[in-house]
Amino acid sequence: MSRVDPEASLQPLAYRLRWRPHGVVPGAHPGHGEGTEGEFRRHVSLLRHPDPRRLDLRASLRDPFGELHVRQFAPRRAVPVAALVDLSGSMRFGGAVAGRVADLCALLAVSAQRAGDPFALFGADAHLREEACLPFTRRRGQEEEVRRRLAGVRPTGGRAVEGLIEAAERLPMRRALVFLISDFHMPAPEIARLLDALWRHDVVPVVVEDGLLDAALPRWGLVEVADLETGAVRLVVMRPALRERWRREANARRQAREKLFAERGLRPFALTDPLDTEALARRLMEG
Amino acid sequence: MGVRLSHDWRFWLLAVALLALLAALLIPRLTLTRHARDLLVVIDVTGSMNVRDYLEGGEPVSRLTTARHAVRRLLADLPCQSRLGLGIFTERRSFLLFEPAEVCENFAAIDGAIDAIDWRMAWEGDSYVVRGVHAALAIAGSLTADLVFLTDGQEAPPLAGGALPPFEGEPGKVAGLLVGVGATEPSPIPKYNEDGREIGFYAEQDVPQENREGPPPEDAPSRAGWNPRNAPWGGEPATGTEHLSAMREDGLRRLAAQTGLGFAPLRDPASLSAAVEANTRAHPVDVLVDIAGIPASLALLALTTLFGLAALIGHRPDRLPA
Amino acid sequence: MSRIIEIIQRLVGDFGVDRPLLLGLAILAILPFLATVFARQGIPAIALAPRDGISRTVNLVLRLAGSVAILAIVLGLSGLHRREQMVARQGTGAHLVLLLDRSSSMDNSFADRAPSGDQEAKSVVAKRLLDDFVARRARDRIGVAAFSTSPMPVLPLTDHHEVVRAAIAAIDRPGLAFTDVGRGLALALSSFADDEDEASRAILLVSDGAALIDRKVQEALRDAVARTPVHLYWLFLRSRGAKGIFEEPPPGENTPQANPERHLHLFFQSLGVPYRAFEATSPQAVEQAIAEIDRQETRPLTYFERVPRRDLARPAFVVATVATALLLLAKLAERKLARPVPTVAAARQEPALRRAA
Repeated sequence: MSRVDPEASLQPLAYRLRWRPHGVVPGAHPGHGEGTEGEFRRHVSLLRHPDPRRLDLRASLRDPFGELHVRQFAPRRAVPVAALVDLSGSMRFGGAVAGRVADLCALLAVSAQRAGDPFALFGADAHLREEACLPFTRRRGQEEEVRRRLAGVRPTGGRAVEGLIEAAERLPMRRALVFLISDFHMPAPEIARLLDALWRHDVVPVVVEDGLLDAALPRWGLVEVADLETGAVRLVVMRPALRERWRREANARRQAREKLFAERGLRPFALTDPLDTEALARRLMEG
Repeated sequence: MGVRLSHDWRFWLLAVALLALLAALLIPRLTLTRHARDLLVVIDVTGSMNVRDYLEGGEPVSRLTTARHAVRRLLADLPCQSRLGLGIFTERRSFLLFEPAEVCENFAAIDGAIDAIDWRMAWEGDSYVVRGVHAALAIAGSLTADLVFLTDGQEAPPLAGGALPPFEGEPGKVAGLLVGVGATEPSPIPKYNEDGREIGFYAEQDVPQENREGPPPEDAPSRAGWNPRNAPWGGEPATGTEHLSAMREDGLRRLAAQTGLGFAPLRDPASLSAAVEANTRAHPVDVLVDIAGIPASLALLALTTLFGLAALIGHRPDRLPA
Repeated sequence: MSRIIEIIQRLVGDFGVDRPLLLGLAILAILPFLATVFARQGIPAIALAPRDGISRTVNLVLRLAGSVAILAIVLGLSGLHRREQMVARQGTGAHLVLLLDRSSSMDNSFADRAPSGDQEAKSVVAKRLLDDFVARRARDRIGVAAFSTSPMPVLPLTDHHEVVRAAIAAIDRPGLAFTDVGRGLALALSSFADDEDEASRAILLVSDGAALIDRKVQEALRDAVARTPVHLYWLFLRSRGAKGIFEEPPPGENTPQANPERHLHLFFQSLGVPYRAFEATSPQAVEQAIAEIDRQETRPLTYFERVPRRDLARPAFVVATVATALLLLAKLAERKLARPVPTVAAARQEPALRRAA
């Protein structure tokens, strides 16, 4: 909820997947296939799974037909977790990257590390920004590095779609949990293209909300705004009617975005300022 | 909440511009004292002024033309509220064409009048410059104007015995300037017929070489053919160079000294204004001077700085405050 | 550069500037179209701000205000003014040349004596009455010529009567010996040479005598009058004892030599132009004659009234002030895009609470 104090140790969050990861690397998530340990999945007949070591006596005794039940487990597998951060100029608004985005990524890094999952960071504007990238690793203390990198990077430049697609190409071939962190102010077809490039992965769109813009617009007055990416300038004569219109249009855009996500079965997470840790925890537990 | 204006240089520059403009509107006009002059310009129009010993643009021009140009330049250079009157000199008197009139308001008319001055206005071939200057001084005195007298100093006939006629006025009472028009090398004088056509130059015998009025000079008995009764100036016709004309600087300087006037040779038309300024009396006149331009310039500077600086820094999107 | 200025000056017609080089600063007026008085505030995407007609209009108005402010100051600094203008109006009046006799006889009184006491010199009377006359005829264009031994152009035709009156003031200065009326008249006629106006033209000859006009000059005058038709007025200041111009002289004396005034009168009559002679033997008679001329010369005239130069620097500064005040008002109305939200402060305290719990 509050900006997480970098000195204080982060409370890792648990996260669930709605799918079973492939792969061989042992981890914390119930994976594909059958294993001899891990998360209990079901009982099967000993005949189907002839592994007497896993015989469940209690279940077998309870069976009126006297069939022997063997416990079957899902193997615990690690899942790669990646944070893809939009570093286009617009992300500079409200100091989002160094603030809540860095908080979020650090939290994700520490959570992944706790769950034994490798975590990687990709920052991109028009191209991948190497200084804002960290490869997959399970190292402890990575969250500090993540925060340092994101605090040091200055979001500039144009649309980040191309760079984020580059980042998508660097992701592992198997399904990964991808947090796509952006303000999603790019046009809908661009967003669609980016999401299509990430089809393989479990994408959590993290929408960096510019809540101030909706909540705190002045009622009256003159404001000269300039696009942080293109530099285009517009003078706005604020008045209640226009403020209403501004909010209506913002809502319409948000709904269009939600629709786009919904079409792909994605459930976005709204990254408010400051980061709402509880909401994030809830969202992560939903899988 | 407004932008914190006190931290915004744009606000301050705008405020400075507005205050400066208000100052420009409210500032009273300054009363400055300028030096105006009242002048009576008398131009010699006698025959010798037709001598073409000036060059203008490679063409020889007459003394009268050069004098006219000089006076027109002078007219243009005089500050407003100065007054200028015009007279001509020929024979033995100065003839007032019009009394001094304000130069700015009446510029075109005065300029036209100066341009119309012509040798044909002369009514007799004689040229008693000294008496002309004395008469002009009397007129100028009655008009309380300073005199600017443009002449080549050619006396025709020459002064008797080279002595200046006495000046009856009070030297220095009327300030002013004798302007010597012409080159110091003698040149022949063009001759015109009755219709104003040029018919050659004056020859030695066409002009009186000696003034034979009054008592004969003391060296007369030594001349050939001298006879005290029949030929008191000698038997031979006087010879000399009076048919050639140069600017008589010595004579003019003596005349200037006698009458308390200044003397300046006219080298080119542009030089007259400075000489007049040095030799005539300025009287202060009050003129209102608008100094609104100073604060207005400040306002312009502030606005230019505001928009120029804003234009210089405002175009990089990555420098925008977010 | 000067050519450009010339073109600009032709474009602006009646308006002029004293310091044209300063007009180069007018290029600064494009600056407000490159920048504004506002502090730009970044926004993630320009599309977030709704397109709005009013905003666009206000934007244009403010940019124009900046431009106008700079332009107005530059114009004010360069000394913008409306030139002195001649406004053509219909009235009554004439183009008039005063042809003044400056011969020495004018310096005598009507009794043909040196002026003394209440006996004014003819030139003094003429001066006073002509001065009044000019003062009454404000719409005339008046030129002055003088004659005596030779003709002298004094002033070209002018609207500025101050200098005309200065020339009239000079006529009581000592005159010269002779009276060359003929060439004086030719000179007066030539004053109209450059005058292309359709106005009534008149010559007012003021003299106290005449001399023979030789044949050549007579012919030249007839030619000139045929080319330049004028109304001719002769104000003859007749001294006591001089012969009148209207009286038929006894037969033996009727020669031009013996009676030049009479013959000049006859010559004028023969010119074929409107001509009137006034014989004045006293100041009162002169006054009546001048009043009569004043009445006569009241034909319609397109005259030009001078609208004096008007300085526009102050109005320009007023415009600049208004425009700058508008900009300052707009600046005062500037707001932050988003107000700081008070919940931030509240939110900051929350972790402490949580920790305590």
